[in-house]
Amino acid sequence: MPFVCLLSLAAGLLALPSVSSAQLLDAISSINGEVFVDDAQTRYFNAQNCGLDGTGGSGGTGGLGGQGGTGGQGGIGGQGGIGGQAGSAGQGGAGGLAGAVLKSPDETTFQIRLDQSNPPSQVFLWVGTQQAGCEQVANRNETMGICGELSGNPRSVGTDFLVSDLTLQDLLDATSGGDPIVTCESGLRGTPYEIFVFRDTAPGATDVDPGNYGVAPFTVDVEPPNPPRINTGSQRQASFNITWGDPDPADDIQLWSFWFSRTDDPATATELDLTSELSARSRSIGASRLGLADGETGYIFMTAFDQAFVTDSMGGNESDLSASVEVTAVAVAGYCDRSGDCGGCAASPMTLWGRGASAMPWILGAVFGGILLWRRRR
Amino acid sequence: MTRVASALVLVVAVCLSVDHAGAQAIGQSDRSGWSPEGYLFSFGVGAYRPDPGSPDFAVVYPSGQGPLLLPEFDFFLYRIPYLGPIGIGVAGGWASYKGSACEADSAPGTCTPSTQGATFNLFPLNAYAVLRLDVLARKTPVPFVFTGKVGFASVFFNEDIGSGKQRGRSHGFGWGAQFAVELNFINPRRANALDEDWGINSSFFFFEVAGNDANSRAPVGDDVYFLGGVGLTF
Repeated sequence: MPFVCLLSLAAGLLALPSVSSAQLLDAISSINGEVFVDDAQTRYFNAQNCGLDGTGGSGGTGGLGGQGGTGGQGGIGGQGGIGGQAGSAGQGGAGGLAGAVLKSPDETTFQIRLDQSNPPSQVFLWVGTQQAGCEQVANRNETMGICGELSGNPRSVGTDFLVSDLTLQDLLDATSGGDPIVTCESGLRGTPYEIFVFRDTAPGATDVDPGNYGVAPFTVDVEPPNPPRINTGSQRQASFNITWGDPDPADDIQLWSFWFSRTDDPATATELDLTSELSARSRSIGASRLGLADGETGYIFMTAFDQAFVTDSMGGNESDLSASVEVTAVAVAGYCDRSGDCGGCAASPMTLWGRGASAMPWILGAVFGGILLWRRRR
Repeated sequence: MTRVASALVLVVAVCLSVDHAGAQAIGQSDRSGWSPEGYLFSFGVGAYRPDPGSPDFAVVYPSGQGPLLLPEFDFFLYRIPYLGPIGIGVAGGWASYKGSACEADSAPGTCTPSTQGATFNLFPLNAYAVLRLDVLARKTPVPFVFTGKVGFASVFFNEDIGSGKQRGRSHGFGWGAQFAVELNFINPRRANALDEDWGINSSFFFFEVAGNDANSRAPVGDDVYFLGGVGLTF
């Protein structure tokens, strides 16, 4: 009998997820026309979407002659584009892209793609704080202050299961007890919310069954990351090794970007076309990449981008510039250079690690040796 | 490439002749239950530092003795009566050093240090003729074994100073003198069991003094270096 009870208990536990999984899975599918390609990606509204990040950058100016200066890069948010580098003769480089266009909340549009297992003809949208449980009538009560109805209900559903013509302002306008549910304020890692998509009929004065609503989570993150914690020790070498630490306090970083200036002034820094992925903690930058001749000094800065973007990984919130690293281009010499003769056969056993072509003699030698030993042992 | 191939052919030829030499009862011993002793494997850890006779290495890599990790494999071809087995040995190892590159315009013999890290890797590859004097351990209760080695030392190396690796190889004469203590006396019964079950005749600790003048190109030889480790004969 106890065995039967245990089986029943296990069956009951296994059945629990299937009940909760009946809740429909909706998602914000695009913001400002940019379509999310990864269903697992967190849907962020960032500072640009909220209209908080200054003015959009202007296009960079072309290079001044030479072999063509590189075009300036578009500004992100309030930073303007950067002019191309001057060359010595010839055509100037093309101007940079215009900076990201700053949106106000009522210009920030988005769409919701509905779970296709139960497509309705119309939906009623509510927004709530994270885990607000707006499907329950008690939580939709004004006194709770956690769920608010969006204006414009009911909203029609397109044949492609999309609810369109939504703006961030719609979310900001939803209130409960006179207070807004969603605000353009957040911590470093953003503030999570949920859109409740009730199918066909208004939620009314009863709890809504799991099969009749979906939840589309999103996060408002308007706080840029802190500047990278760069190691600022000055460097005198030919290839500079920039290192930095983990964000503190912790933040969700998407990538790191590098800037350079001839003077120790962030205002004069220009963005290099160099980025490192989020897991990187070091980056080697050659002096020639910075245009530094032997003996010249410059300053490297960094910024961090968070994950509040749709498809362009540099479209998230960007930090201020970090402290600088003073770098001086100096030709260096090791023992090989000083001893004057590093030639000789390159087919060393060390090539086995790299599995290069010169590893073949060693592999063949090892195989021959193994065979001979085996034969002799017998 | 040609030299390496030639060396391989030589090694193969020597090894092929082993079947004939085997008739000489390489590991012959009076001890009952003692299987033929034809090979030796050892692993040593030691202190190796190129000794180029100029300050060039020291100014870039001011400290560090490796360590050198050096496995060795010996093939015994013949047992000289009342002395011990003679054969050939191959040892290949690795050592690494870290330092700071000098600014290129440093005056000769001096180093204006840059902040550029430098890494120097060595891969010594030694081919030796080996004479292992184990008569004391075989004929008397004294478990001491003395080994002498002379041969060809080849040291491959590479250096990384941030702008890619430079590689090379130097070679020269190499030698070694080893003192070993066989451990069979600790528990002879178990030592015999190890021989019967696995063909391992004896295990030993060793200490070795060695040197080489692998300075044919970049000087990376070390006149005298030391090793200690463990080994097996089988």
